[in-house]
Amino acid sequence: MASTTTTVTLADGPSTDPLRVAWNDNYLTISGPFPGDTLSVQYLEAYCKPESRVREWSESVISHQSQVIS
Amino acid sequence: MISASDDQRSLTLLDKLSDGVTVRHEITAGTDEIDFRLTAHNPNTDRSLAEWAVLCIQVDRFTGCGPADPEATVPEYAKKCFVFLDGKLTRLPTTPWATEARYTPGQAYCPVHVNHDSVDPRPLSELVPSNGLNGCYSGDEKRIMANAWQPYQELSLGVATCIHSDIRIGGLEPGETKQIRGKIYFVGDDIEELVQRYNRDFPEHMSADH
Repeated sequence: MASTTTTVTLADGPSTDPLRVAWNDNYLTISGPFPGDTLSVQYLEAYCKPESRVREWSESVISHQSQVIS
Repeated sequence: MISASDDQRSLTLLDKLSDGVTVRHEITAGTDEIDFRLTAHNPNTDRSLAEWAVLCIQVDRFTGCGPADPEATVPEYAKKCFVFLDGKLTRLPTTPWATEARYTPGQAYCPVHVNHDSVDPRPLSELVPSNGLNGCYSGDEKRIMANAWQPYQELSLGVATCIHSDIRIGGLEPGETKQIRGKIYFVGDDIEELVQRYNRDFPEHMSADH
């Protein structure tokens, strides 16, 4: 007898679909079963020195470069 | 688009700062959260001034509000966002709502453990957040996206339809290494459950002077 697999989905229940992450050009994109389907995160936008409220933003920022290593 | 693992469940980033500091980011996707583990290291003989770091979470799609008017004092999406004041979830705009700063609009909230001069240079609220958790509701109010870090520097609202719970580094002495961790949660609208989970993940934030 051939076996049959049935998938039951609870429309209002929590999804078990995993979230996913990808990164490109300083943006982390999170994808998954949530409103909007994707969330963009500028990751990271900046590293900053102390007293960032009392000087120009450009003087607060310590520049950086990011790369995916694994 | 780069995803380091075939299943898009994890990736590792390496940041190199111009002062020589390195920050390694281990980012892992779970069923309803993203986990961040950072290792910041100063290999130099001079102290690094890296005090804090900014991640900009853009919530236009999640809140269903669309891109915010960058000139609006209180953009529509802000009404979907929250911080905790006196231990209770408080929707924005909080009262009073600061409007003056070097850069406007927006709103920054500085916790007790951080120097007020060392947070986002947007209007600084006189209100002190109870903890490091902030987030927003979805358009239908049934889902929440929330964000927290240990240590954290500040909570803020920017001009890119964004919310921030930003990372505290606190400078790095020569040869020093610091560990930092964070979470982005995607959960239902049960605030009590979210707070309990946050308290388990960030027990350091339960002290009054964190």
